[in-house]
Amino acid sequence: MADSASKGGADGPADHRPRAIVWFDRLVRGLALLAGVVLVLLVLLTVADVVMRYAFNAPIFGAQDMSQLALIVVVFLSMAHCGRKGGHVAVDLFVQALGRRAAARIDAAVSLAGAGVLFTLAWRSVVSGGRASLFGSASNLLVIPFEPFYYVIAFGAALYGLVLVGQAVAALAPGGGR
Amino acid sequence: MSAGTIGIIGLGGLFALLAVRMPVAIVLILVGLFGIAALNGWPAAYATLASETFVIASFYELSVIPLFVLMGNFATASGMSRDLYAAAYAWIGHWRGGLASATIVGCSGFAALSGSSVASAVTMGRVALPEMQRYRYDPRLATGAVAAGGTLGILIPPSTGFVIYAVLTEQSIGRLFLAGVLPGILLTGLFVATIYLLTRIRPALGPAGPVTALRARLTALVKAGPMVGIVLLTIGGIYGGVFTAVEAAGVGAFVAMLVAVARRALSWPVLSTVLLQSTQTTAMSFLILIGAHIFSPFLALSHIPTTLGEALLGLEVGRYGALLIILAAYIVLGTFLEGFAILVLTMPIVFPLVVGLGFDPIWFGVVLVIVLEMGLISPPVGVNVFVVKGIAEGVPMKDIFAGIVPFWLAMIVCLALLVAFPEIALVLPNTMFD
Repeated sequence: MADSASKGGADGPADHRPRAIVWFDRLVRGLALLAGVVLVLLVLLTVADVVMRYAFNAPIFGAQDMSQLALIVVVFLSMAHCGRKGGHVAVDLFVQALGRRAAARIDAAVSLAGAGVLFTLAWRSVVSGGRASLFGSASNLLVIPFEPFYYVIAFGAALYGLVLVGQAVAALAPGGGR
Repeated sequence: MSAGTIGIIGLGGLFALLAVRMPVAIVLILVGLFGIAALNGWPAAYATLASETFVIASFYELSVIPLFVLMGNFATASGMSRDLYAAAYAWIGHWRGGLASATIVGCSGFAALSGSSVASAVTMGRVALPEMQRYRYDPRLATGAVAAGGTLGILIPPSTGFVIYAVLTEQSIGRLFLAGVLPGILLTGLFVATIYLLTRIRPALGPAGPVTALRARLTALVKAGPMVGIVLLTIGGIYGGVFTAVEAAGVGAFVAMLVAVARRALSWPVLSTVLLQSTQTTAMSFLILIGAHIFSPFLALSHIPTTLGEALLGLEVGRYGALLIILAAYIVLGTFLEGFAILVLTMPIVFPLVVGLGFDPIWFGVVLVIVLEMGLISPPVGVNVFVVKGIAEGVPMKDIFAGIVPFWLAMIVCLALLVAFPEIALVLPNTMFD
């Protein structure tokens, strides 16, 4: 119901931002592209499974296990890029009435609070990953360990947290805000 | 402090955070986390946070979202939506108001490839609005048709709205998809009938387009073939029990990708845009669902849903009276809140109530989605209206809203028909093979 149609990358022709930020943006976009490639692999896996089942009566063993875990990769490797592009749905109704400086400060505070939420999610996912390895949690058929996938979630959440910190800084910078 | 008080504080915090533009998903996680911590302690809150996130992100049935989104984006990239409009145009463009009707039919077909109303309005708007301007259509009719037609995206399967509803209420995605088919066709018909009536009363609103020769008509139809094929394959496959919803999505995405490759539509910039947009929609949908699954245990712990439910039942307005109140509340919510947000915020409260009143959960999903569609085109925050405004820059906002009114009334008629004849939604899911 709400997907923005923004096009192109963050790296425009005349990019005067600090190099670290340019590289961070490239990393975020590159990971989202990687997520897209994993999504295409998910398509191929699903089709192969259907074809094998109907044509050879031999569905791929553990295809669902692989799909499930691939989904985590797709979702969390693209989380930060979605945040970078302002793709996460927000309600745009009330703040418009405020002045620019006040709005920028509120934006910064909201972004920082959001970063706090995502860093907490990252931290708790690392803890849960450790527990998953302790208890040997794994997928049903292929017994793929869950532990590394908790770390994928942690990584994706932390990266989105960093994007939000960056947005807070940008909002407070002179000439920043909306 | 009682659980109810904590619940009310939580809801207050929720609206305050939404008001300062915090993304809905993050608000839900934040409020849910603190709420559970306040009611059951931090260990419970932390456990919910990590486990719900993992469960949702690895939820097999939810892979329909990225797969169908990818299918829609490949279909758009390969120009299938343009073919569709061209075919509808060739066949009905010479009717009075025919270009507007062709737009509606095009939107309806595009909706069968895409689960997003915004995407439908953007894609069809870019194709159809210039054409209607060329034939001197009244801008109100032209923009109204695009905005209203676009909303079909979340009613006609595949629909992200249905997937979210299915996950929140533990219903079958496949059954909900099938339940949307006939109401989607009905609403398409009602929109076309609306245009017919309007142009019958005031012919100047939408002059007839040129007649297309039969040969050109057939060519246009053939070009739209791949799109029709994909729809039959996916939706037909689910209905016939050949595919599960996830498999249909995977096969649909695969075929759409092949068509895009065969038409040489996939340059690297186009492909990367398709991939990035697909993952972006995916990340957005999943984070909202994760938020919903952290927020709703908190709401349940606060007993607010049961309290509200008892209050509504205490009104003694009868089954349909209660339904009317609920739907009216959704129409109001829809005017200022985004559809996804409304679903995740209200389902924990409303769903048990509706089921308690004896309504079919699949049927209610369809009715709810139509009500959310109405929200997409009603002031002040009709998302589709902004989309159309972005394409038809010269048309004032108030004209777009004026153009929408007749279509909005058509949606009310559709809702009334669904309440009177629930079979419209239920006949396909009840006769499917599964």
